[in-house]
Amino acid sequence: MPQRRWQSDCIICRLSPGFEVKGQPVKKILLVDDSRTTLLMERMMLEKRTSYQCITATNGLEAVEKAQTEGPDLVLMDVVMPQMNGFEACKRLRENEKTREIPVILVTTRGEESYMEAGFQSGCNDYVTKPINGPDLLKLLHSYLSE
Amino acid sequence: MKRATANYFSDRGNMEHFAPREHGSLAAVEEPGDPRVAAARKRLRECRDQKSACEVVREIVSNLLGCEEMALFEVNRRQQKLALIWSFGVEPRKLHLPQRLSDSALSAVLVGEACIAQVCGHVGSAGDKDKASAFVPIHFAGQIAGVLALLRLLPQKTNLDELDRAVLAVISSEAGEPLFSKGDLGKGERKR
Repeated sequence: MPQRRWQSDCIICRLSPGFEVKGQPVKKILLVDDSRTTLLMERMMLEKRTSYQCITATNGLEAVEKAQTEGPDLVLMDVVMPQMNGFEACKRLRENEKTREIPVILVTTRGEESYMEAGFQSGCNDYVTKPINGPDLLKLLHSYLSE
Repeated sequence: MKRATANYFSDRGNMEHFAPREHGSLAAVEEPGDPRVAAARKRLRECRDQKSACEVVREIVSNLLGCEEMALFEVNRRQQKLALIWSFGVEPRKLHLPQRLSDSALSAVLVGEACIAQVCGHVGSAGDKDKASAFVPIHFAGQIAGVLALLRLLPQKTNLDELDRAVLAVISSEAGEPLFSKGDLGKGERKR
């Protein structure tokens, strides 16, 4: 892989997963939400303003599977989802040796204290409420993903 | 153009003024570069029928704006009233919003101006049960075909800001076709 700087408007960069930035592999974020609108917005925001590579899942079960096969550097996950919610998915990620060290940020409309407690009990690293504030979220992601 | 006027929502169905509201055209506030705006527009343009449009409106209002109580009305000019066609997060029977087109609270909305409360109602706050946070005109075929009412915002959402207005502008201009192009309803196909 050539040592080139990642450029968001470069088709070669976009088509090359794991393209290196200054010698470092591109960080991979797993976005998990059952809302296609939220996934699209998060993806647009990250692709426009960062060099992170995005992969997506639409429920907790799919997220657990993709975390094992894709090995993301961070998981940004909704809580209320069909099949498996974010709390349960987070617990499963923590139980698996392959995924237990991956930072998990839960993102949800539910801002009640009981939900936040449940989130941290499930093993998440951070808990963010919707609607997402773009600059704040990017700052948070950078804090986990910067070397 | 923006102007201050009065809020006309009541918890018992009677008209009363209790908070200043802001009216204004949404067209000037669209921000195409913002990911929330771009995502909302793309999703609404993908809608093929009324059902999918309602679901996308719900996703946008809930996830991008922070409001999980909403109601969509069709403007019935023959009967001079708003007719409820869909709601989410609120009991339709308990909605006490102005429904006569002659209502002064609707006059600005019916000429295409959004009506956004300066002091928004919030889930969990006492006395705000039926308070609307915004009325958004839905354009279709050169006229205002519908009105989207946003009721209480989520507790963590303090108000509707300029970026929120840009998202509302997208709903106002893009949601009309999948929602109100009658010939397509339920057939799964949308004429462009």
